[in-house]
Amino acid sequence: MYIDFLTIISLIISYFTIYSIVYFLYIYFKHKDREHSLFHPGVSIIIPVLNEEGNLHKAIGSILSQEYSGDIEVIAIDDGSTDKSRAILSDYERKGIIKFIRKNKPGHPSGKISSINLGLTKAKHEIIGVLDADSYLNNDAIKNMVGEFENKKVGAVVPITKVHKPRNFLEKLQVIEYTMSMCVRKLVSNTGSLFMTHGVGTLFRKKALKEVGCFEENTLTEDLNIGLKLAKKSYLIKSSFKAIGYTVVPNKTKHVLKQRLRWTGGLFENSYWFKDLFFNKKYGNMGLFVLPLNLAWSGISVYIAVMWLKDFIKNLYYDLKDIIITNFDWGYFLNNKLESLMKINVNELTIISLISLIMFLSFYFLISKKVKLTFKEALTSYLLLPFYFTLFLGLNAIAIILTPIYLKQKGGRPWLTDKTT
Amino acid sequence: MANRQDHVIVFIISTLVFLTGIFAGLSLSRVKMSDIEQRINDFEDNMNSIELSALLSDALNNETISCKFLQGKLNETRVLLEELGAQTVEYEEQSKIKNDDYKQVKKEYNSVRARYWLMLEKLKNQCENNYTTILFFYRTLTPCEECRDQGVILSHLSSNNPNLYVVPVDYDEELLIIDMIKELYQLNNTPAMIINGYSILAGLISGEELSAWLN
Repeated sequence: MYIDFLTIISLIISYFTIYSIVYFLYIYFKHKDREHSLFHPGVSIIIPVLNEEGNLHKAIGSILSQEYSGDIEVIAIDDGSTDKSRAILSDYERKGIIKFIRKNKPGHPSGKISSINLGLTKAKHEIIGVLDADSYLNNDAIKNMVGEFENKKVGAVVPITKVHKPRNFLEKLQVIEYTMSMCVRKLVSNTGSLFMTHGVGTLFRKKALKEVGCFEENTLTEDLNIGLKLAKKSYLIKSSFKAIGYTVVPNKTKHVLKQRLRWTGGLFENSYWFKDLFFNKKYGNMGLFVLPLNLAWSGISVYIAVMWLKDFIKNLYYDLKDIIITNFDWGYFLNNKLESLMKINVNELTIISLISLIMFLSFYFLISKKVKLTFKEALTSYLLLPFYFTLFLGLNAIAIILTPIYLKQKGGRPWLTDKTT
Repeated sequence: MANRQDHVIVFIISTLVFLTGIFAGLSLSRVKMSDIEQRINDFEDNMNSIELSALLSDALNNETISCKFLQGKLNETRVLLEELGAQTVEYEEQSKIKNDDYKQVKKEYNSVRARYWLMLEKLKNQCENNYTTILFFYRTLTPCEECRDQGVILSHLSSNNPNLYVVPVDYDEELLIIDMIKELYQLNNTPAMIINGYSILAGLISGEELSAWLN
């Protein structure tokens, strides 16, 4: 029996893929929904604002309409908006609905994170929520999250995030991404291994935030950074399938690419800053498996994208060459091409890929039910899966490849400073 | 909380799934290999009967009937050879884990191709047929881009020309018949073509050049 080197690499990646899918399916079936809690502490929701006149009513409205018996305080911090945001917030303040902090003069913003950290100092409750102004929560989100804080070890609770009214092709592709990543995070949180938060309604324990030095201003991804800081102090990050936040996603390719550059840059710089968590027994399943898996998938997706591109270019090159050397006999070329396309390539790798695909589709079916995707949303995402796995993951791979250049442009961040506490 | 036991269970399930895929792939590969072996056996049976018939014709000195009969058999065999060629190429390209028997099968395959070419040459001379034979040498042990290109050109030419018989053989195959041909025709490199048993063309020859040469 003989196998070439590239096939061995492909088999290793295939095994890794199967292991990941089986792991998440196993955790899914092992999971038991948390019982409803009577713990109803006061919650302070911080909303950092910069030119969000079109979104404020929805964001604030979703907090005001929470089905929650505990006290909810809303703190909006304006970072120097030049649109009608300040007027809208002043109106809410006048009615006694929110606390409004005018952090900076119009046109002079100093950053979202400083707004959040300022809000922390003004919050009266122990449970703090962060809600981006272009996002909103479902009615029982807070009710379904606060119960987790009965466990003193819990430092944060994250809701599932869904895409708000996806319209174009790119937004609909992101529905798939958000469905998968949010559910994977929920499942990972069941194993005590979640290390990431986000700005769409995550709740934090104030004491835990103060212990880790609050939010880091000089990072590309403050949500990942705060998650790792909490994890390093052995705080747990939990998640809830029943708490749902909605957010707007980029709808143009260049904006998606810019977002991915920021996310990957943040992943790389935070992985470097928190490198002592990786493969560290002290952090259990998170240190030994989840963190390395998360980083490894960046490398694997680049490898797959590069291999696919290499094969595509190679096939294109040979097709063009064959047309030329057969003296542009299009009939002969197209006939041969059709014959080769009709052939079903069945070997060990394709069989394993097929098994992985079936397992993945089953997993996606289960999680799309869990996050209550409508029938239309679920059907659309199934139809778009081939595009997701080719175009979208290809775009992500491009972002990963460009990230070192992006980080260098930002001043070579990981190599200059250490942001661990 | 996930613990070691969870990962052990996941490892066992994943390994079972993975090995199922590998086993299924290997079984399929074995089936493909058996099919190729069977076709080679059928081809060899064909060649045996053609060679026996040629011997009989020589013994009886009856070339007229035997030329017609043998030509028909060789044309049938041509189709078998093309199908066998396509199957072998498919196996070579698709199977990622190659069976140990494959080397032996390749040897037998090259051997029957060489026999086929010899019979074509014999019949051409004996029956004064006006078809053209090309014994095409390519190599596989080292990269040979020109061999690939020449193969495409020859496939194209033969698809448009039923009187052109192209027989490819692997230059690197360790077979006595191939070594003898290489020695006889002083072949040192690939791609190389022996046309009608006497003309030798070495290096990549374009479709136009080859057509002009054959005409």
